[in-house]
Amino acid sequence: MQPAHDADATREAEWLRLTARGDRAAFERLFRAYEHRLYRFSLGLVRDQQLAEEITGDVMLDVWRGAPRFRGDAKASTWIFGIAHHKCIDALRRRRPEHVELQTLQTVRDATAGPEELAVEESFRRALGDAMLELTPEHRAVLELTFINGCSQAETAAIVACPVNTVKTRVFYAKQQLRRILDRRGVRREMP
Amino acid sequence: MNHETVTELLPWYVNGTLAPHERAAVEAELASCPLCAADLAELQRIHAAMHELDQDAPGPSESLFARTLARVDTQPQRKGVAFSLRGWWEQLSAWGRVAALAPAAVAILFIAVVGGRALVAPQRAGISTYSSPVAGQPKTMDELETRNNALAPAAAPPPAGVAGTVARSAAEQVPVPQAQSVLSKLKATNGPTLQPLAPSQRPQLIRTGEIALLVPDVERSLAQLQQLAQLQFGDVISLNDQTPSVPGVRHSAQVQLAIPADRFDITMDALARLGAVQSRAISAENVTDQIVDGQARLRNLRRTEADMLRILDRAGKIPDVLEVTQQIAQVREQIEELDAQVQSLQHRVAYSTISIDIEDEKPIATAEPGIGTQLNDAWKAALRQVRTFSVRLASAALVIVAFAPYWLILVVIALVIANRLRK
Repeated sequence: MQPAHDADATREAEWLRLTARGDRAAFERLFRAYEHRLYRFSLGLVRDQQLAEEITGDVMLDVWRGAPRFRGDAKASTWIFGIAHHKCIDALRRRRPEHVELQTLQTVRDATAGPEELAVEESFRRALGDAMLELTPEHRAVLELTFINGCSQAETAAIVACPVNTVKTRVFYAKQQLRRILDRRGVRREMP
Repeated sequence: MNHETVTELLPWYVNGTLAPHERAAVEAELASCPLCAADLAELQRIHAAMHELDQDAPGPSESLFARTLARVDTQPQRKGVAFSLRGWWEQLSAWGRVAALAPAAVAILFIAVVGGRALVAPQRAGISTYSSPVAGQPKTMDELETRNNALAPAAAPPPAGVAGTVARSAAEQVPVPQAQSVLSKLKATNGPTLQPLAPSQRPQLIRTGEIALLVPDVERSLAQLQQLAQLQFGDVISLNDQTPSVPGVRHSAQVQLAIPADRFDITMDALARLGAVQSRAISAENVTDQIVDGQARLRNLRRTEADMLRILDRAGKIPDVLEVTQQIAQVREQIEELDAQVQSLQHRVAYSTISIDIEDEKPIATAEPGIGTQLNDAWKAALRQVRTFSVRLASAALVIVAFAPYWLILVVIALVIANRLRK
C-alpha cells in the first residue's frame, strides 16, 4: 500500500491496536493518516464529493467501532480500504440519478484544469481522468488501488474481496479498456 | 515465465510490490522483449498521470474530522471476537465437518422434540400462577396481622432521592421467599456501607399506590380493608360500592385509604394478600424542593412582617400608619397562603394515598341457560379446540420440515450403518 513502507504499516497497526483499546488520540492520528486517501479512493469510485465524504466518515466510524475485532491477519490499510470498497460498492448499488455523476465529472475536470493545460502531459492526464470515468467501478477500483494506493495483488484481492487471478484479469481488461478509450479520443499513449 | 504472465505482472512491477522472484522474471523478460518494454513505458506513464490526478483531486472538507469525532463519541466500540467460526470451519477437513455437524444435528433434533412439548406446557402453568394469590388468601384479620408483621422487615423504604413509578402485573410478581432471599443478599452486600439517612435529610416524597384485586367476596374484603386501615393507623377516605342487580355482572368496589407514610409498604403488601392482584402501581413525587423553598420564603415573610411591625411602632403620621398596615396585611396574606401550601405538602408526605379497586371473581348468579344455549356453547368450544389443535399440528409439521436437512442426514447415516450391520 502506498507508500508501502513497513514502518508506516507498523505504525498504523499500532494506532489501530491502541484504537481497539479506546485510545482517542491514536484514532485521531489514524483518521488524519487516512482521511485524504479514503476520500480520494471513494471519490474515484462514486464520483460524488458529498457521498465520498460521507463514506469516508462512515468508514472511520466503522474503524473505531470495529477496531477490537481487527485480528491483524492483514495490514491495517488493507482492512480499512476493504471497508471503504465495500461501502462504495454498496453506495453504487443504490445508484443516484445520472446527472449527479455528470456534475461531478465537471468538477473533476475543473480540478485538473490549469494554466499548463496545453502541455502534452497535462492533456494526457486530462484524457486519462475522463477515460477513467468511463470504466466500470470494478475496473476503476483495481486501477486506483494498484496505481494510486500502491497495493500488491494480494492486498487488492483482499480489499475487493475476490481471488488474485480475478484482480489480474480485472487490471488487464481495465488497461485494455483505457487504451480503447484513449485511442478513440485520438490521444497518444506513447511517451512523446 | 512466459510473455503473457509477465504482461499480467507489469502493473505491480510498476508499483513496486512484486515478490523478488517475480520481479527478477519480469526484468529478464523486459530485457529481451520490446513489446513488454513498450507496455511498461505506457503503464509508467499511466501510473505517473494517475498520481498527478490524485494529487490534484480535492480533499474532504475540514469539518469531516470534527463531525466524525462527534459521531465517535456516541458510538460504543464492539467487543473483540477472539474466535472466528468461519476460520475454524474452513480449517476442518470434510470428515471433520461431518463430525462437527453430527452432534449439532442430534442436539437440534433433541431441542425440536423437547421444545415441541414445552410449547404446550406454559399455558397450563400460567393458570396455576394466576390463581395462586387467591389460594393463599388469609381467612381472618389475625392471620392478616401476623403476615403483616412477618412482612415488615422485608418492606424496605424506597431508595433515597428517587421519585418515580413502579408498576407490576400479577404475572411478574416475585415469590415472597425468593424476594426475601434477594433482599437479604442485598443487605449483606451493602450493609456496612449504606447508612439510613436522618428523617430531616430524607427526601420528602408524596407516595401513592394503586392496586386492583380479584376477590372471592367483595363484602368480606371491604370489611377486611376497613380493619386493615385501622390497624395501620390510617383512614378510609372514600368508598364506592357497586352491587349489581343484573345477573352476569360482577360485584365491584373502589376504596381509597390514607395511610401513614412509614406504613405504606406494609399496607401495600397486606393488600396484595387480600385477593389475586390484577395490577399494582406505586408512584412517588419528590416535593423536597417545594417544601424547603416554601419554608425559606415563609421565614423571610415573617421577618418582613416583624420589621414592618417595628416600623409601625415608630410611624407617627396617620397616612404612614395606614400604608404600613396595608403592607402588613398583604404580607400576612402571603404568609397564610404559603403556610397552607407547605402544610398541605407535608400532610401529603406524611400520609400516603392508596386506591384499591376490588372486583368479585365470579359474576353474580345467573339463571340456568336453556338447552339450546348450552349446545351452542358446546359447539363453539369444540370449534375452538379443533382450531387450536390444527394450528399446533401444522406448527409441529413445519418444525419437522424446517429441520429436514438435519434429521435426513441422521436417517441416511442410520440406514448406512444398518446396511453395513446386515452385511
